[in-house]
Amino acid sequence: MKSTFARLAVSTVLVTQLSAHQDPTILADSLTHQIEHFQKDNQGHDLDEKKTSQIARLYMQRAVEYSAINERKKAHVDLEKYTELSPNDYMGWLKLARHESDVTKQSRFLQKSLELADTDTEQSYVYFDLAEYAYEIGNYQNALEHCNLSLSLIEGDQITTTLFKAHLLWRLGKLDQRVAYLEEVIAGNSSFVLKRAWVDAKLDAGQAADVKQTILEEIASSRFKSSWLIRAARSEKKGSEQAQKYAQSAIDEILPRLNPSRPDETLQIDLVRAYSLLDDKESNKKAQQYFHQVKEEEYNRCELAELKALINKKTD
Amino acid sequence: MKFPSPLLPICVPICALITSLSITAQSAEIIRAPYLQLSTESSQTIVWRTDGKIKPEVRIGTSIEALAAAKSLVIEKEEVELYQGIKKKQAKKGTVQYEVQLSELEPDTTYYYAVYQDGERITPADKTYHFKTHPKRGEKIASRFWIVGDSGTGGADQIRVHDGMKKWLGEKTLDGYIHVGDMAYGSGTDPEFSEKFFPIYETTLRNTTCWASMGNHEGFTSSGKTGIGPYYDAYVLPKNAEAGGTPSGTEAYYSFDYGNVHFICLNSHDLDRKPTATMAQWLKADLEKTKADFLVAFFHHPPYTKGSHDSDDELRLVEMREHIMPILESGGVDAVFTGHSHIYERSMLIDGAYQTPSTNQGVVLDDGNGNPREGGDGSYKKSGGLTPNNGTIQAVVGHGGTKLRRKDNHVLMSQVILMHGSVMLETKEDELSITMVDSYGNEQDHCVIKKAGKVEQSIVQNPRAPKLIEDPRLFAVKPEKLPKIYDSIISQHTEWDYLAGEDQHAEKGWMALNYDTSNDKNWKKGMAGFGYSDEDDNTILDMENKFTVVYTRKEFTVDKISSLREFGLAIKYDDGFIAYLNGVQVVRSLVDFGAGDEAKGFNVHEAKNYEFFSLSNYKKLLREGKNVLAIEGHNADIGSSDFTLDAFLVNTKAVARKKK
Repeated sequence: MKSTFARLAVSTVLVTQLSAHQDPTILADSLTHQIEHFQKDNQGHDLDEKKTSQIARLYMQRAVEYSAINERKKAHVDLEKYTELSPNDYMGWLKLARHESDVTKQSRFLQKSLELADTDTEQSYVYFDLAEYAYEIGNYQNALEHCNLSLSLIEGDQITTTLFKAHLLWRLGKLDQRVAYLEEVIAGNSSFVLKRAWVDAKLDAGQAADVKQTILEEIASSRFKSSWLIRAARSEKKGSEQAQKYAQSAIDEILPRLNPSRPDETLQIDLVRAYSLLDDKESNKKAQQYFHQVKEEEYNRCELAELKALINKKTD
Repeated sequence: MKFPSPLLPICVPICALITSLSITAQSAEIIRAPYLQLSTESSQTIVWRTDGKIKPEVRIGTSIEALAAAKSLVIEKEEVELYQGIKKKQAKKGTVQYEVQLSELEPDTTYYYAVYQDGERITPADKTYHFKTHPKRGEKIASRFWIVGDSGTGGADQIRVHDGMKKWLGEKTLDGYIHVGDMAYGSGTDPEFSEKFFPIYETTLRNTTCWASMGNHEGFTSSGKTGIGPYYDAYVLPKNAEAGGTPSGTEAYYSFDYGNVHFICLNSHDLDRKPTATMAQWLKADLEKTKADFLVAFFHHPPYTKGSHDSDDELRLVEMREHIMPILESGGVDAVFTGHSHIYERSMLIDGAYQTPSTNQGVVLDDGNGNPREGGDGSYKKSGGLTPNNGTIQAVVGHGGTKLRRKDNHVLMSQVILMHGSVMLETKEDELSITMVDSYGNEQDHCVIKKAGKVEQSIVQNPRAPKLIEDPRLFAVKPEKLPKIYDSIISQHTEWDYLAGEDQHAEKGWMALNYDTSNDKNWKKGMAGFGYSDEDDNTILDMENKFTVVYTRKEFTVDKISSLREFGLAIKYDDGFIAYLNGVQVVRSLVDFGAGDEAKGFNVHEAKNYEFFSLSNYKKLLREGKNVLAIEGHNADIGSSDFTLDAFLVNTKAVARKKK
């Protein structure tokens, strides 16, 4: 059910921190001392509700600080302690799931979190994580269902979730449905990223003629045109002279902008796209070369999957 | 002219959110004074709050004597439409927020305004209630933006920084105000915004639009993912490119133009910072489209800092550097303003510095101070227009009011200044300048980027080290008379570790808790006090005409921090000293700048009675268990006839006994 006012609580487990935030390493160290002293003071005693909540909070706070310095294993240990001590907080289980690498455990923690999530906002957050989890294990239909649930529970600018849903439709081969969905969304949200996703969806669905004018307008109005030149190439007949011309123009613009030792990796990805649109083996080889330079772990999984599909289609 | 004649008021369309304007509380009072939001070439939003419903109207005019109704859209948000999270974090019951969007205005024009309720003026007839619309996009026009970070304590330093800016400004005017986050400590709640942000800056906010970026403290109660929370209630930010730029579809990140300057605001706190995530995709698209002459980005978490945070260790900071900076620099960014770290740090002209940990090798394009004034190294030079990878200045401006801290000097910085203050960003013709203004209205740093012609940059090998300036007033705690009754935390005349001798200087980190003096044979043990010739010393030092500084350390144990009340340092000294608690400087007396062998600015002081320096404000530095107090004592002159350093630590009210 949609929230009455759509301006609900943002989950705030850690609203207790009142002063300006300091270096997480120092804070984690200080929290370790507090935990050790708490343990020493309470050794051999049963903890009452207040004390349990006190020590649980310290573990959660330290987990947050460990996460901030990318100490994921330490954060995981503290989150396990937190969920033991404070088993009814949905956020504890949600955070634990995010730090868990074992998929079976991750699923269990997410289900536990969903059971405990109280408000629409809380449930929406958990459903989004469940969608991501389903995606990771390759259950795209289930991911789509969870994504829909997440979107239905809160209003607000959910651009990332929207793009995720559009990607899931692509994954499931529902290309026309993806176009229709994005058309509906961009009617109510001006995000340029959504508009661009709609253009890409049109190209994927073989409806290039509908967006050709938009692409040409973007080329005309942009300072850097390469990403739209790539779309222009995709809008033309595969392997046609015009498609090759657009792709080559994109490459010509990108190469001088690309610092080989410290590249803007988004430009590298564009280069992969542009080279894969050129109709010769040498270019396709270059596309593969640039693709292998991309650090996969740093990338949005949806974009990477679509990029892989583009290259593989070309090299198959 | 689009602005209506004062005699021809245009009807006010009320948005659908308003349910009943007829229910007007006659006694409703303004509880959040009018402030400007979302300025564009042709529109201006004015926001305020009352403690009940009113029938609002905003009248405007190019002359203060002739105000009239203007075309406007009024949005009324009742308390239940504002943040509905934890109860004590919500707006007060009965609160109503009004957001009036005035439209069909002339560009680059100053309008005076007043808020009316049922025909009665409820804001004073004061010239300071005015706004100026943006100039036409792309117009080459001078601009001046005030930039502040990490200010929201509601305390005296925050107020002084605001006053310092106004003093510096004098008769000049601002074209905008940028806040890089942490504007309402501790959790960015609605009451905290009402207490620690709006009243402090009221006189500026009434005539200057504030463009905000969300900090981690606002992130406790507001979400960038959904755009919901007290931060998003407080601001009206452009999601539809109302003021130029590319539509983001969210208030979490956005862009706008002011003349020929393009501004980009990012959310570094709670959105995915990966290079192909939604925010970065939007950033890339925005950079592809802008054709401005100057490009400025701002967000909360700094890609480069060694202030109260370390950009080599913290994930958000690392990701902003490794993932976002390459996109900004390949788009031709000129300057990046951030906060989070409570310090002012301003970089040299750099490019491609994405490594972790940061290095200054192969990434510095100009290692001068960028100051074109007499005695400076001259402006930084860049190509005209926006040129990819042609050099960026990074400025960390987290010195807007909260406690300052410096962990180290970041290797890419030109200036590191430990003083409260803010920054003035100005553009004029082909120059962009950055000026750091302290709490007293004095300029502490000034640099200029001059953009003309085509500049081929080259790498500076082994660039200079940063210049460090610390505000001695920060640590100049006023001494008091030592109370008669106290408990000792460190006993008087007990044994300390000390390092003293010709050319003997403590190594880096000597004052830290984990420093081990047993690794350096030059450290010795001796009873306090230390000194010579005035017959008040237990450890006699052969200093005269040989050396001027002595380093001392004493470890101590605290069982319960909560049992400490007025704890502090009791000290007899001649001439000056710097004290550190667990590695952090807490008192500086009569040594104006620097430390160790780089200390400067000594003043003469005779050791008579013990003086008491309260350290109660530094209780947070203590931990239960082992702690360390470190003191460096300085003689003003190498030929001085005497020297004394005799300290102990006391608790003057509560009982906090030394661990046996």
